[in-house]
Parts: sequence; C-alpha cells; structure tokens
Amino acid sequence: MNELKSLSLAELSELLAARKLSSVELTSYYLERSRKYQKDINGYITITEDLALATARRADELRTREELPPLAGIPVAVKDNIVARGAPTTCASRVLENYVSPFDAAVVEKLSLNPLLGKVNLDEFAMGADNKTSAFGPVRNPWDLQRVPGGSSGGSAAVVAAGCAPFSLGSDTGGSIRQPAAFCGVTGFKPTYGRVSRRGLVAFASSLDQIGPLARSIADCALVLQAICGHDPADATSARQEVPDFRACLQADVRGLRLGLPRENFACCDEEVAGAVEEAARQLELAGATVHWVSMPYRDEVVTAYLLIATAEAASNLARFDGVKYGYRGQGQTLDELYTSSRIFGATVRRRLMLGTFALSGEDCPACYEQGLRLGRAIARHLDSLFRQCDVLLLPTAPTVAFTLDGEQDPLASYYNDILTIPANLAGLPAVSVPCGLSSGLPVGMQLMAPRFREDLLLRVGHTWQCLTDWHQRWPREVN
Amino acid sequence: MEITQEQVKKTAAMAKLRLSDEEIESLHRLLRELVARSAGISLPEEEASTAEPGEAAAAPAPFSRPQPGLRQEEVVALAPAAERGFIRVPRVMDHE
Repeated sequence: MNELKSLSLAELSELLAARKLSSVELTSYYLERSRKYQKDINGYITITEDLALATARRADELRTREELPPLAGIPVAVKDNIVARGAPTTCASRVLENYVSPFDAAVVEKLSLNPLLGKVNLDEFAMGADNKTSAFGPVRNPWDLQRVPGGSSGGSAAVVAAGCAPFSLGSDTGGSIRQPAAFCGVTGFKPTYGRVSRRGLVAFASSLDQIGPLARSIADCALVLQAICGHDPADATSARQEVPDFRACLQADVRGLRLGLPRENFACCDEEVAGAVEEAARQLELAGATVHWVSMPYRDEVVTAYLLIATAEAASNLARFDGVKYGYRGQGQTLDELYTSSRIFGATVRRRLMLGTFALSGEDCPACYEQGLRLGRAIARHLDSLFRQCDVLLLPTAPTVAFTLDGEQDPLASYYNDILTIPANLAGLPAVSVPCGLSSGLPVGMQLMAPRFREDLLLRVGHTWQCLTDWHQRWPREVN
Repeated sequence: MEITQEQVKKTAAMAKLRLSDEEIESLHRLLRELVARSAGISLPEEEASTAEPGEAAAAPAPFSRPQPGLRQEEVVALAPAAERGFIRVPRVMDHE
C-alpha cells in the first residue's frame, strides 16, 4: 500500500475504475498518513474522517452501477477558506473558529464524489507568505521541519508534498498557490481569473483571488482543472469561456514555442535559484523551444499596486466579520463596542485592514485605490506586450527557497517575497509553479505564465519539462 | 502629505479595530510609506483614465441572475445570538 502515494491521479483512476482498489481503501490510506504526519507538519486544521469515508462509500457504491468521472473516489484536501457543508471553515482565524458552512463552494460541489480528507491550514484569511499567521499554529515544510512551507496555501502544499493527500485545492491572490508549491516541491496551478468559480471562497481581494489545484505533477493538475473549471452563473466574475480538453493539451511538446525569460526577474533571485531556472530553460531549448530574454522592468510598482488593491479590497470584504451574523461575538453594550470587540484578528490581518481602510478613506489618501488599479492595468498591458514577443514567460516562482520559521520580516519587505507571482494576479493570467531543482536540499520552483485562457500552453511546457526530468517525483526524506 | 497619529487612530475607529500603542506607532510608519508610494506613481498617459476593479484581469462581466439564497432559519442558526427567529444585537436606539 505504501506505493499508493507515488501513483499519479490517472493511475489511481484506472485502479478505481477496474475495481482493483476501492475508494474506501484509498481514502483510509490517506487518512492514516494525514494523522501520522499531522503532529510534525500541522497541515490540517480539521481532518474530516467521517465525511471522507461516507463519500468514499458512496463513490464505491455508485461505481457498481455506473461509470464515474475520472477523478471520482480520489480523496482531496481543501484549503480552509473554501466552504464545505458540514465541515468547519475557519480561515485559520479565531474569528471563524466555530463556523460551519450551510452550503458547498462551487468547486466542492464539482468534487462531490471526492472524499474530503480535511480542511488544510493557511495564513489567517489567506494573508501571508509563510503560514505563520494561522491562529492554529504554523505549518512546517516536509522538506525541513524548521522551515516554512510558504503561503498562504501552505497546508495545501505541505500535505501533498508529504503524501498525505493526492491533490489539494488552494487559492491564489498574490502567489498563494505557486509560492508554497515551489517551497514544498509540488506543482501548483493558478488558472486564469474567471476560469474557476469563486463562489464559496471566503473573499480576500475579489479582483485577484483565484482557486486552483496543487498536485504532484502537471498531468495531475490537468485532471483536476478539467473537473473544476467552467462558468458559474452565481459568480459574477466567472468567465463564459469554453473549457478545453486539458488532458489532450499534454500531447503536444514545446517544439515551435517561444519562451521569454524576464531578465530583471532573475536578477532579484538567489544565485542558485536563478541558476536552476536558467538551466531548465536551456533544457527546454534543447527540447525544441526558442528561448530569449525579455524585459519586465516593474519591481516596486508591482508591490505598490498589490498593496493598494489587495488591502483595500480586504478591508471591504472583511468588514462583514463584525460579530453580528456569524463568527465570534465579543462583549459590548453598544453596537460599536460589539463590532470592535468581535474583530479579534491577528496582527498581520489587522495591519492589512488598516492599510486598506486608509487607502479607501479618500481625504487622507486621495484616490489611492484608483491609483493602484491604474498601476495594475499598466503592468497588465506590459505583460500583454511581452506576449507579442513570446508564447510563455518562464521565471523563478520565488526569489529564495523556503526560509526558516524563526525569522521575522519587516511588514513591507515581506511583500517582496511575492514580487514574481503578483503580476499574474494583477493581469488575471494563468500561471503554474513546477519543481526544477534543489538548492541546499530544498526545492526550487520554476514559474510559467501565459496569456489569459491559455492554460493549454502551460500544460504543454510543464508536461514536457516533467517528461524530461524527475524533480516532481522526489520525496522529502522526512516522509519517506 | 504628513500623516498624524490622530489619523491612524481615526482609521482604526473606521476599521473597528483595537490597536496597541506599538501597533499605532508601527502603522504610522506604514501609512506614511503607503501615501508616499501612491503619490510616487507615475503612469503613461493612456493609463491615467479611470480603472475599474479587476478590469485588467477579467473577461467582460457576464449578465448574472440573482441566485436563491439561504433560508431565514439557516441564517439565524449561524448567528452568535438569536431570538424568536431574529438575530439579536445590542440596542441601537433609546426610546423614551
């Protein structure tokens, strides 16, 4: 049974379809691994064993009567800011500690035959890049338990890296799927804004948030994307865009594709990180792609735009947590006291809400939010111009490998961790992080970015890369 | 534009947040940085017009119909305090 964790989703699907493996057996295997590593990794906020086994039994029973979709019966871990009926959704915050959603998120509905292993840990309300802001304790990186897994989808990445879940769902506002995927040596895919419904995702910054999969390979991500993409009339920003056959996109290789390497994005990285990604580009060139340097001159502007847009939208979205309709209620004789005593957020969330409220306050920060939007649009236009020179952008996912848990960063400096991932959110582009090497024994991530709704290009390049190399098949020593 | 500590406190009141003195001091610095960054933005002329949230990112927004919401009892069941089918909150107005 121990080799189950090394099987691809397609292989697990075949075993289930042939009834050589039941969903109950597979789910029990992952539940056992999840419990075993929980103490070390703290990847889960809640393990939902009863829900998982009930769904597994239902999938097994249905399979005796009908053919099921490819992913049916394969268990999943879901970031704890995506609601699932009957399971707590805490957003890693004391504010929502006892909240149980009365409805399923759109993505959870679409995965209704996938046993829910549990709700995985994150930075509080998805605000952070190290998973240290969770009210339920930090997640630890399976590659080195003294290091962070990245964030905010740190739990989503860590449980896949440790073989505690075959795949997971995360959300990405400024890099929150891709950066933890890079730090934990797994594949993390942020689809185009609008490709996956956000209904049931607790909003952080609504114009940037996007749900996506984390898994062990591009081929696995293609299967998950097939299941979760598509228009949803209940999400006003959901795109009416045809969903291609993502698995068919894996057939083509990189011959004839033009890969652009943004020069400035390599210059700001650790030498070994930049070197590993450059080496990957060389190998893709040998495989038939054309590789050339392009220019991405925005650096401080990327952080400024994100700071202004994300904090302002967060201040607006999180205003609903006031102790009235749901969540924690403090003590107060007046309504105002009730609001203030109920908003028991951690320090990082408080800081971002302050910045956002200030940015929206008008007289003190004139047109701050609008300026952020204009800057974001300028960056998006520059990226559009780069896609006239190349088909796919190839760059590091993060400037460094996973850093240690004990360090403290200046609040503004911490935004620079996301400097390579934020542009895809500002422009709504699809982007993916794939493992491409090790530096000091820690995974390095390569990021691929494509024009809107061109996930097919990312699947082509990423799958070609993973056919050429085995970085995505390596396991951390701690969990072997 | 100079940001005062009073403005930081006023913002905290608007955000309904209780902050420690150290937080107010640290936010004072951050807000000054935010304003400086915003004021320092220089954009090409074609970007100077109004922008809408998510405009750069989103496909044209589709027309969407209102969807059925939660039932009253489901909403009230989530509330921290409820009474006779209503959410209970502190008195907002005095009546003589």
